[in-house]
Amino acid sequence: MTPQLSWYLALSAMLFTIGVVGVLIKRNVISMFMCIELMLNAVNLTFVAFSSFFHDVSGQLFVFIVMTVAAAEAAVGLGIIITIFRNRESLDVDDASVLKL
Amino acid sequence: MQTNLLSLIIFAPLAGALINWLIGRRVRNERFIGVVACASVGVSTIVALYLTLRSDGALRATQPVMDHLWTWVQVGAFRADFGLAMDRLSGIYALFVTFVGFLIHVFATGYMHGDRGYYRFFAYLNLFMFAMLTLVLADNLLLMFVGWEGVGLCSYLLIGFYLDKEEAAPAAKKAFIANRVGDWGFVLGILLLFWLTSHAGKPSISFFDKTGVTSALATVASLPMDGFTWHAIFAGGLTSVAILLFIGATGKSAQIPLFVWLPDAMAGPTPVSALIHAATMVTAGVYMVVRCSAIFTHAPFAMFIVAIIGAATALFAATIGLAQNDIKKVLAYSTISQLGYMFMACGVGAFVAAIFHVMMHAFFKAQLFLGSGSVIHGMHHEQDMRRMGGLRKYMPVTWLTMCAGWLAICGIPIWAGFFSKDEILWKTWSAGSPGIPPGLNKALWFIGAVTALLTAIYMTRLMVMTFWGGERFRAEHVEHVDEHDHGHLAHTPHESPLSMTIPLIVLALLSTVGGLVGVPYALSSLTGGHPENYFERTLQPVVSEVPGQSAGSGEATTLHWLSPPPQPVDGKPAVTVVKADHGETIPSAEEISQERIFTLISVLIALTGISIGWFMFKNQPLRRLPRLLENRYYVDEIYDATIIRPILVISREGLWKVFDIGVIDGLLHSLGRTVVNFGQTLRYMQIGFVRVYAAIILAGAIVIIGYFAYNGVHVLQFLTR
Amino acid sequence: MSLIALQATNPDINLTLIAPELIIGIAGVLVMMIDAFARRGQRWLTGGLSIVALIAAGGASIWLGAGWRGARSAFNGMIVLDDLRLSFTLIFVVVSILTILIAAAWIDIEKLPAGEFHALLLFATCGMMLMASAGDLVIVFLGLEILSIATYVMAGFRRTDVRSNESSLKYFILGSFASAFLLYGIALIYGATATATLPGTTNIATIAGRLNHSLYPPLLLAGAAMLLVGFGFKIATAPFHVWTPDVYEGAPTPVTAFMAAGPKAAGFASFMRVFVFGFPIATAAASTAGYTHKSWLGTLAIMAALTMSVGNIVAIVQNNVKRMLAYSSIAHAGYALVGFVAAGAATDAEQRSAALTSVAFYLLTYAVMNMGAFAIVTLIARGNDRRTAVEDYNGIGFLSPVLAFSLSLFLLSLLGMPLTAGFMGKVMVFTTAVRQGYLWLVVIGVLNTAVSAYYYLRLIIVMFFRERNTPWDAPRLPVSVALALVITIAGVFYLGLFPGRVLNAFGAHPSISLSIR
Repeated sequence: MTPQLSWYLALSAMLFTIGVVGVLIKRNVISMFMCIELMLNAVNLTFVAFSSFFHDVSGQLFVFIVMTVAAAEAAVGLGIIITIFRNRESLDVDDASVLKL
Repeated sequence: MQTNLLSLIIFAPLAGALINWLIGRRVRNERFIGVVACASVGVSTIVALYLTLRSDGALRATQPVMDHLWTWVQVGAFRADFGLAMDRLSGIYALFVTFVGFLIHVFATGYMHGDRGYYRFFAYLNLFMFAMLTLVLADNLLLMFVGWEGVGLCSYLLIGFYLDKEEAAPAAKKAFIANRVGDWGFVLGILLLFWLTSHAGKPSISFFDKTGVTSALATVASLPMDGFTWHAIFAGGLTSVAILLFIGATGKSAQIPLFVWLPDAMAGPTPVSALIHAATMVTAGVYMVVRCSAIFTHAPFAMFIVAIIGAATALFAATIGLAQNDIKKVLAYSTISQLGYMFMACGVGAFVAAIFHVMMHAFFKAQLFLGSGSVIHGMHHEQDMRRMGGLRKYMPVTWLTMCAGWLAICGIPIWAGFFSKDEILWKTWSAGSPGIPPGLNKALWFIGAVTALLTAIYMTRLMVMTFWGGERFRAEHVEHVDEHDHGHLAHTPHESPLSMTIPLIVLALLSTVGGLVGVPYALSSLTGGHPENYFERTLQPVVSEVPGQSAGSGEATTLHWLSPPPQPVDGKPAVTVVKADHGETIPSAEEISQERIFTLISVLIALTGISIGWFMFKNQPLRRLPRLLENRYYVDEIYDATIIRPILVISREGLWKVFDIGVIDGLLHSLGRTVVNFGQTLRYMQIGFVRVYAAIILAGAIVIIGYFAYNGVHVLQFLTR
Repeated sequence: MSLIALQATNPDINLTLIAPELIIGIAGVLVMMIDAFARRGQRWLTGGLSIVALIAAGGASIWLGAGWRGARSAFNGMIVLDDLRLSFTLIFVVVSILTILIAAAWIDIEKLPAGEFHALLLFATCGMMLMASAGDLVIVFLGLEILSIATYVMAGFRRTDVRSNESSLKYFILGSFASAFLLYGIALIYGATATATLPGTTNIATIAGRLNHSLYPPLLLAGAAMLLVGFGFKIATAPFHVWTPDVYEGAPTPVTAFMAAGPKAAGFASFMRVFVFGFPIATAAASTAGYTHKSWLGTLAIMAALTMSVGNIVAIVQNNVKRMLAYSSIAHAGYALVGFVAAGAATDAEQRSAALTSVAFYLLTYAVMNMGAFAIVTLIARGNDRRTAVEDYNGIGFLSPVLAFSLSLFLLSLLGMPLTAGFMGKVMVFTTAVRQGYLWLVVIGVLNTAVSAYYYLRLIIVMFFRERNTPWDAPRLPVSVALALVITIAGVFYLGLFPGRVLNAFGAHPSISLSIR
């Protein structure tokens, strides 16, 4: 039984959902950040699946761009997290709620 | 005719405002500031006179005088020019706005003497003139809206002029908000009109035909008339446009339900009250309705509403005016009432009569306000009439000139108000348009007549309390007046300086003879002279006719000349005859005799009102009112048995409290509170937690994806079919 | 050099067409180098270089609009040249120049590294320009991320301040979250646009042609919905606006000014291009294209109404000026959306072009008046954004007349007072919406402007009528901020009085041609 396209799509949709739920329930900033990375990689999986199904290389190229962007985002994100940790000594996002109402 | 002179009318005051703001504030020389301010308005006045009265001027030519400055906006079919146009209507308006404005500027140089914000005052006042003249001379609705908002802004600045007066800021804000509420109606009206004309194939918001644009009003005139039904209001047709525009007018012209701001606006300096809140800005609503008369005549239900609101406001404000003790408040309510009159005239299709009354009202109400300003000035900023009395002796010029204004507003023959008010009453009685169901015209006439009576009473009361009777400004005479002592009781009132009395005299003269420009045929034919109504003759071509209106009371369908055709006349003030653009409608003999009878009735009403006022307040100007209100069971006076007392009680205790304070303010407040509460609730969505925000975003995303998926199901059904 | 060589062999690689982006990108790298090697305190050098680069980029895009006669797309359709792009590029240039001018004073007060700030700003600008010039979803995503990453850092630029940190963190997490949605949407569309013989595509113009041949219409719709979420976040429409108030309040004021004007406009640029041209109005309503169009247009109209109302109503109860202006910026995005909806609903090219022009013009007017208002808020706030409460503005009217009167002018313009830019902008978007028959949306919009009078006026009244209890030391008006004020005040009047020239420039050629199916 050869794997169908829909299998890959379902898997990536699940991964994306797990990422979304993770962002909502995790309180640690780094965990949240990892969940966002998971969402991005779920999308990458979709791209690769389509790309291979269509025998078209552009989807895979897109994945490279996404990975580059994700790396840049990771660098900046970790930088932000470090500054926050320096000022607050806490990685709990719910502590970061000075700005409200 | 195309001339750049027209823009001088609006830009001269703007230049004056800039000079005073930039240079005047540094110089701080009152003479310099005053001269700049008055001269800039003077230039406008002279140019306006020149452009209206020259041989091919606005009042004589059939085509408007145009000045296309630049194409302001053009996106697709939507075009609005920064262009001015002076036709007969805007010509007359520009004339009296500049002239009355000039007089009030002169008056203000004396009145504001010694004020710290002298330069600021005149800069604002000149800016106001700029905005007002833009409003009047605009050749399209959008530019008119610029002036419309501009006068609102200046009014706001000037009401709040006395920064240290604590009621000034809330009053200014109230005025601005009430106007903004009206403005959304105006804006939507413009947009809806644009939509309607686009549908008719000629997208336009211009008043006049120009190269590349057809007049929106002409397009509207070619559309079929809306039906006389309630749901025409919401149908998105011409009735909706008319109602939306009228909402704008109720805000600017202080009609029910948006009138609440005008009495409070009296917190501003008195020249401001005279110029903005009596003579010019508040009549902008009437001007707009008349300017757009083509829209209104095609929307009978809107006409009906205009007439009803106008009549109701007229009566309602007049009853309140009876019971006020602040001299400016009486005049403020009187202004609201007179504006109601004008709208009533518009509602029954008597647009020309409305404009005639606007002009006469500008003369006599400006006179009365300036007179009251002179009194206030002479009394060292005392505004309570209970502390006045007997000023006749001290301020003879003010007294005499105010008498002219008083007689004019009461409607005593030959004074200005007589002709205009009588005209409105007669036109109301004889109205027969699709917007006025049978019988309503009689009812409206009755309301108008009662209002005229009340007007005569409260104005007489004002005059009597101020100028006759004992000198209550001395400490020992003050009874039943609020406790806090002002500490200037030793002052003796004094007559005002020349800069103030000269405008008073000029305006008094205008209030006396100004009405002669519009003597109706029924009266002028009595003298056998030149029979037609010059004013009506001039304006008739530019306003839209109400269908069925010209037929008058019925049988006069065949019109005939009773006397020789009209001739141009020499030696008459201001407005002169133009050659008829279309046939003058001379009423039948029967109509004329009827009109004469009604004229007699209105004179009698005015005289009755004055005598009631005189005998009620002459001898006991002060005592009556407070005791009446303090003790409601006080019944031993003669006029208590008459209708006056109930009206006083109703007006103060009933209408004023219930409507002004209770219902209207309450309604506005609760509306405001609801919005604020809603805001507070939404605010609590922002609890500051990132994860909650992410959840809200996700929820939104799910709703949207769900909606798309729902549509996706349709697509699948479509594809599988 | 190899790129240029490549250009010679492959005409589709056209560096001229991306000249503005190249100039800004190179200038960003240069500024970083200068900052690394020059002595500290060289902010005039980096600032000056940035402004020169921005002006050069503006000039290049004007030249592209007026003088370029070559191809109007390059890099295999990834970059397009049309008025939509050029008008937005000019908005970005204006916003960035004003940001540099306003930030100069702030950088001095806070003793922050100027070079880094200028470099980040240039990179953000480069990202915005790419978003406007993108003809392909890949470039949209790339531009969006270049912009976002730079902005995340700028929001947290005051490193030691807790609020700035928090703003940055919230923006970063929520922004990446929304970006992931956008990306997923792109992936789904890539899959859904495949036909029996052709692979999927991410080119916007090609997508439009594939809609009715899609093998998986539900995927297409889901992808469009995801894109809507991602863009909706970027331009802060309700209900995706929740991040805006917190981020705008916490970020340093000049950065807030930039974020409210620049990235929002960039979001609009690619949002409009993707939806108006990628999922255009269809002749047959009962088709995949028809349903897609109907779905997004309906959603967007409701979002516009919600956005205006939420922004204005919540702004009423704010006591912090920055937060109030943040809500006001939400409301203004709602007004601009009204024009966007009109563009989406337009059936003929001329009306669509007029609607797109009106949105671009609206965002330009908003940028000008908003930057002006924030310039004054920056001055009054002082170091660390201490004074941003409404009470801090008590009675300053005649103590600092220049500041108070300019701020009043900007507030009146935001409110939509005639003769100012704000009025013209509103007239534009509302009339285009009326022409497309969206009367109900316009009614809500106009009602909202009436509501907004309340809070804009409140600040004016506070400045002129409220007693001041605390001493007031008037802030010095630095030359750069004064220059920014002169530009913005002149802009407010120029755009309000003579909008014709700008409108013509924005709408001279129709945007990429679109055959309506």
